[in-house]
Amino acid sequence: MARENVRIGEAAKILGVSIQTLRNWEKSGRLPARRSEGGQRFYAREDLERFSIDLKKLGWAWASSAQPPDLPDIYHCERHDRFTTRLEKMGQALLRCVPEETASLLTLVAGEIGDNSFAHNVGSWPDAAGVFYAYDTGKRLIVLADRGRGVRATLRQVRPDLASDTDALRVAFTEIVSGRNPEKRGNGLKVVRGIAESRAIGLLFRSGLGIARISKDGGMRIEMADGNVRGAYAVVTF
Amino acid sequence: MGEDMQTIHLKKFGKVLVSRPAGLEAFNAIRPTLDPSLPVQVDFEGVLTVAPSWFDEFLTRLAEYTDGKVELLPTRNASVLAALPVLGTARDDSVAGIVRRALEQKRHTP
Repeated sequence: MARENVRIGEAAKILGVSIQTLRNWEKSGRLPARRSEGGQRFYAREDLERFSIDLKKLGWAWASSAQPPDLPDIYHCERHDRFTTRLEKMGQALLRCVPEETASLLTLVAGEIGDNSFAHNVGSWPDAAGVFYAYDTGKRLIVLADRGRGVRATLRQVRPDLASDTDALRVAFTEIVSGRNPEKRGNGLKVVRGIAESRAIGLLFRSGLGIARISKDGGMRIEMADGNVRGAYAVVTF
Repeated sequence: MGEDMQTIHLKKFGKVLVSRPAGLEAFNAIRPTLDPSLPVQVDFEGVLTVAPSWFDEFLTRLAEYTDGKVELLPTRNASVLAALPVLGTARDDSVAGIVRRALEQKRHTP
């Protein structure tokens, strides 16, 4: 299908912003424009449509709706191999806009969170399989969500005493499971927390009624949320 | 490098290494080429990200196979440097020793 291109005036109308805003977004890298051979700015209509999608809202719908909503194919990784392929693509995209060190760490954070969804739910997805995985290097945002069993149900297999979703998040992000191969439990989320606490990377992670916020300035805060997440929902900002 | 040392270049397995099953698969692929009686070096050059899940699985198998004779080559790979302290704390076997040696080496690298 041929890509439909529009000029800056039309693009501004589609997004409901001024032409100057689009110029500013181009300068900052938030929404790059393309150039014709004659040097004129243009935008692909599909890029504008993608840009206008609220990724956080879409991921939230996937994680919290009673029935699994329809997802655009590009954001739904039903199987792990598709997730890995898109993760590699994201790594390459990040290398074009952030230092290599940041790209390496963001790819680790998204990789570990998404991989957890598969590792803990394969063969036992309650309804819809797979992970919602979307990123926008312009908006400096990564969103992951699943409709799995959630952190508490997963951890209770080894920690039956876990009473609440907030306790489960605390264990997942802070307690290192020691020893040789107790149950092949990963310690990936501890690494994720260390990265968010020491770098300019923010993380919001929700599961059940628990919500964890981790940032360089504020460290980690875990509290009860006002809404329920079926599996897990994560927003990474950078 | 002498003939008594073998090196695994992780970039053979891809630029982004994630998940335990993939770590196991990578070890199974490299195992036939390794002599378990000789030390082995792990080279991170050319890899963007090694996730802790992949790393833990791969390193555990490698350490078991070579009886702990593994050296992690010095690296500036941010994902590796972020994962090492947690891996070193989480383990109480030869993997912990390998990780601690790597972290020690890093401290002495200018």
